[in-house]
Amino acid sequence: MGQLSRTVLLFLLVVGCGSENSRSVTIYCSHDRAHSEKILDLFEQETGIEVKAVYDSEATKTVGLAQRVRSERARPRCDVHWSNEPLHAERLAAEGLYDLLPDGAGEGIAQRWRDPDGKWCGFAARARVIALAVNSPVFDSPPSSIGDLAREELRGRVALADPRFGTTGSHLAILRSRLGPDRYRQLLRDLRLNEVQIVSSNSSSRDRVLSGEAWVGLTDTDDIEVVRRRGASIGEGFLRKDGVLLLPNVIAIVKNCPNPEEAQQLLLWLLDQKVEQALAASSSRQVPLREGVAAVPGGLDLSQLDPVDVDWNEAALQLPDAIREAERILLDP
Amino acid sequence: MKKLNVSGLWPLIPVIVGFYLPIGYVAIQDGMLEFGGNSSDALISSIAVIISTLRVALLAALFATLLGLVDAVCLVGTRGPARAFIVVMLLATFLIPPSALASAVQGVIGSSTLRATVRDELGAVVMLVLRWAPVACAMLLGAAAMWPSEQERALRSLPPWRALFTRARGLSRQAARCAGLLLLLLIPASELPSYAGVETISQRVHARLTVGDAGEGWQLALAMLIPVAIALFFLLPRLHDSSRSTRDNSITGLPGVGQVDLLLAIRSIPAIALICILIFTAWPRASELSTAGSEILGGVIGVLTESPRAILVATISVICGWRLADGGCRWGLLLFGLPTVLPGSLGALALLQSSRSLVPPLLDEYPLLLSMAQFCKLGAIGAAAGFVASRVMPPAEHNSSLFLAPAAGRWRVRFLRSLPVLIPAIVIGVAVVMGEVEATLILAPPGHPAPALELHQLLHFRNDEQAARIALVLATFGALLATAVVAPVARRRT
Repeated sequence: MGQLSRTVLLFLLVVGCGSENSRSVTIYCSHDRAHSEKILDLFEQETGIEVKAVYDSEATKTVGLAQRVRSERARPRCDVHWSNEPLHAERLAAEGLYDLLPDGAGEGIAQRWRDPDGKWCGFAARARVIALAVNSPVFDSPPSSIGDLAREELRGRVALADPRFGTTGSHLAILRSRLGPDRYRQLLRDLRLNEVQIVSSNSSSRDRVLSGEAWVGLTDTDDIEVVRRRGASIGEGFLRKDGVLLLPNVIAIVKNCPNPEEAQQLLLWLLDQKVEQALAASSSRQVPLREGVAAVPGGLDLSQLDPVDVDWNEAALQLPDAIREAERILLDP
Repeated sequence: MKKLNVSGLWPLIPVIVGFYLPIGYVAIQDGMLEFGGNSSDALISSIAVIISTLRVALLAALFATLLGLVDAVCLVGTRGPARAFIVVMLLATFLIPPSALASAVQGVIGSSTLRATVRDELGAVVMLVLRWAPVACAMLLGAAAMWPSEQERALRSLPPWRALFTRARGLSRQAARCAGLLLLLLIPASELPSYAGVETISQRVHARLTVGDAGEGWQLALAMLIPVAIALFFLLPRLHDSSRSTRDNSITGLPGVGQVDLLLAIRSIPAIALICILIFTAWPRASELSTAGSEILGGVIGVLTESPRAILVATISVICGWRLADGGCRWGLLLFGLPTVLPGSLGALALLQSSRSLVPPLLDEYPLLLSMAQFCKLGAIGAAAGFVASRVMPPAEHNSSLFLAPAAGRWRVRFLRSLPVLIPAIVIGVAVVMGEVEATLILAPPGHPAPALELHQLLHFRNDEQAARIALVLATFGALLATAVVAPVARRRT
């Protein structure tokens, strides 16, 4: 009996555990797995370095992995952090959890998409947009600013992802930094009065538009594109009056990471132009941030979008208050 | 309950090391004890969320138990066609993670005129009931398998419907315990309610810990924990013995009731429909055959890789819970079960922050911390199973085992007699571990297979076909596990 138990235990341990490779790099990635996995596979094939990836869940998008990086600070496990938006990365950089980027990282990407202290670099952005129900009255005259979402004719017809997570949280923090606290809180109160639907994620916001429960859903370009390519009828609009908000993917090397050499290699590889092009051509339809990188047919071109300037550091500082106020005003029963 | 026996508290060691010490250390570091103006505001503003969380969890636990009770009574109290198939169908779906269930439910109902029924609190309750009713059914089937043979024979001489009502009444105490356990499991549930647009305290605590003021997050968690702990403490001694004896597992004398057959057939429809939807979605076109094959193979490898660990974690947790219950330690059971009430991410973050630097780098590849977090998360299942198992043994048998050496009486008599209750509990534990996302996201070693998390990510991207293939693999594994539950209630034809 005792021997049998030991054998079973050993078997379970052996089966339940992974194996060690000579050269490997660990990446925490909150960009959508469907796209990032293929890109990381390509890196593996080209370099022979094994990539061990942890992907985020949609419900706690970005926040879960950022917190994991923070909690592991005493002995980091992650080498490269690929965040799908810049504010959580900016907070981690401010907390001293990132190393300086190697020279030449992300050449051709403008300074406005980088950390001024050289701790992270943005690439391949997504735009915040509104999904529009094709048979709704607003399809032909869509809202052009976030304030329009509080219009009477949209009462109960606007969907918004949980404001505490992912790009929605970042969007709100940027709004707070641009509008100021008072106007920001008033905007939230107006949205609440207009019975905005709070859903679990950007994809749920899009899905409410698809099902017709909402006419307008605040979401990201990639969430819309992915269902369009599967044949769904859904409209897309930019909040042009507010200015087009682009949220770049962000890449950084974790300080004291276990595989610094491989981390640098992966970071430089990911910041290469071909990765931006691949992401632009994929159904995530990211916007290349290098000037001169041609957009694919049907894709989004940086020069045509005229994105607003964002002070990432200021917006990151606003993030906790923006989220707290959104929670109180939009979510409290 | 018996007098406290300190030497029997060893099963608490992993919970103390894996939960209470990390939680205490990190909570104090994060400023849980610093109460300011903002803290009281946050607590007051969250009272409505706490109440709403409790309301959803309570309603879902009650209705899931009621549904499970009807299923269990019909299954054990009548004979009819394809019973084993029906049981397997009813139980097979509980391994499908919440994200897939929510996606299927909302896909079928959410876009129709009935959409209002899957939104808001009612929607959250409906989805939680659908997910957890099979768990209640499994638990009550286990309890029903211990029905005394004399009573069983007497019941079979009653008119069919009266016998069914008598069985239901006889199982009411176990049903109450089952509802209590489900309540504990459902309080921290956040995924399904979030699909229905319902804010729960788990989400709020998680948001506070990760972005806002972490101290407030811990205070909120404490505010949630204290009333539950007090309620549990006072409820535990009120559960009385329900002396059972050996069962009669033949079908002789069992009535065949047409209406029950119809009811069970109707009851199986949602599960069969869900599996049919999955098969339909997963079915590959000619050009996708190789892709589909590799996806299914990947799913099988993922499940096979992860399931031994899930079985090990669930088994140890249930055995520890049973050991505490067998030792008669009320405080021990309370401490063992409480971690279940808190969000999985909370314990995982605390464990990561406090303990990761202490784990030798050599062990980085192994899911030790993840297993420990999930072990603690299963505390209520282990405690409840242990409690029920130690209560269903007839006093005469229990007293006889006391004449043996303590260890022999415990492990060679009482433990073996408790297996009909402990095995379904292990199966439930496996389902919880396999569908768990929060601790997995935070603690799984990079590259570690996590079918539930993968399914979640695929569904977000509307990669429905691949998601359906993985969900089918999980459902098949669930069906295999269900046979472990079916075995104790299987009846001989003679």
